Amino acid sequence: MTARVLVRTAVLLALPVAGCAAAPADVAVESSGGSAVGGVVQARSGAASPEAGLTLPLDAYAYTAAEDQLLGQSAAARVRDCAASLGLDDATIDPLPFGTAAEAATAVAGRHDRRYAVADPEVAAAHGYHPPSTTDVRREFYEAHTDAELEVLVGVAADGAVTMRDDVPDGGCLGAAARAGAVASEPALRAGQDLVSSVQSDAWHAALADARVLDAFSAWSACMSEAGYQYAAPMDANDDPRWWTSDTAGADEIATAVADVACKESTGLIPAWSAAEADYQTQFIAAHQAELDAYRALLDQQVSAARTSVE
Amino acid sequence: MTPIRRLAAAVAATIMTSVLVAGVSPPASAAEHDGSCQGLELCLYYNSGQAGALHDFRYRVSDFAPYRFLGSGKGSGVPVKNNAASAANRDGYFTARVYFNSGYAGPADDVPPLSARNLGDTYNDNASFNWCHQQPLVCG
Repeated sequence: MTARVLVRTAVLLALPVAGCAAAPADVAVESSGGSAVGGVVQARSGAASPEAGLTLPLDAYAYTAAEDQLLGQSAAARVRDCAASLGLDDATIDPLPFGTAAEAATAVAGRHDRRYAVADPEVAAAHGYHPPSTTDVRREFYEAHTDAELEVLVGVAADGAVTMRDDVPDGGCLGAAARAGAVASEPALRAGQDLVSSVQSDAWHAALADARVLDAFSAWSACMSEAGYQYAAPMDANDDPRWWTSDTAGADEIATAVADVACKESTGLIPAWSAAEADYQTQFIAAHQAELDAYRALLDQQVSAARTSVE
Repeated sequence: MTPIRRLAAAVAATIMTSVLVAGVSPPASAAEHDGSCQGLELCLYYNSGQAGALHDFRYRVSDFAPYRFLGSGKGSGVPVKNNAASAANRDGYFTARVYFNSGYAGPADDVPPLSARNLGDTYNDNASFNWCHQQPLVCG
């Protein structure tokens, strides 16, 4: 079996794990060339942390957690050297706009966690449809630095005025680090990102019109109706305007979200939906295989350069 | 970020509040929600190719419902939610991620630092957006 035909998708199951949040179990689903999805091949109850979540075929055309972390590490090292030479010490430089290794691993493992809106019963019970509260990473960066620090780091103060210091590189140390790490052609990278985005979009919309997904929506909708909630499709519940007038969930929202997650689980909504999406992604990837391979080669170039720089 | 780094950042942010208000806060001419696409903002446009009326955002938005396209271009006055065709990210170091659904849910389109693009998944289906570290790609 090649990697191409092994489409790994996941089923979110509420596992009775003592003392832990319900852990998503990763279930591999065999797909034959983008047609019908076969049976469950293997289930993994991971000891690894963070738990691997849902994966989709297009994930192959994005950086893995390890690659992403390496790129961040390489850029951060360049920024630190540059800033030190301009008189900023490590304590003043932080936070830099790079995630940590742990954050990268969590982000990659959980990249599709909210793809089908809330799917975790504990998150639903605590936050309803709202995302668990997190830091605005961009705000944190700009607000943690003084104008003098921002001049060195980004070459401009937060009001957008370009620094008058002629010892600071264009775009500051972050600009210099980005240029040093950019080995692949920028237009080619952008074209590849656009292609991945369009394949992703086409597959998403194709899945929304797929009979398997529409049947799953009907089953989910009937389950919700029994619980007293009237929605035709899951995203209608997520996007109910009543929830989005405040920053936190109220009692109605939480009750709806809890019923929603229970109905998703009892009707097998997410496995059906993600399997349909995976099928369309596989099919549309095959139609652009050469271009996507070339894009993946560009990503690999960036990773190799970063690896060399940190060695 | 480790807890210690996060705490340090939080303390720094608190200490810097006065600086933020006095010095780092943008002048009125560079305010968000003013219909002018300036540095450090994510701008959403009514038409493809960064054309038509726009709305400029400095901070993440969990639901676009309160906002309308501004200025005199095509689409002025139309709700931003589910009506944006293209985007420009004027921040140099953070990726803007535009989501299909409210509360950073559903599939998403990334707008890398200092780039502009037509929206894919979220074309006329944009409900929320968040800022992310570009590398590793970690969103708040």
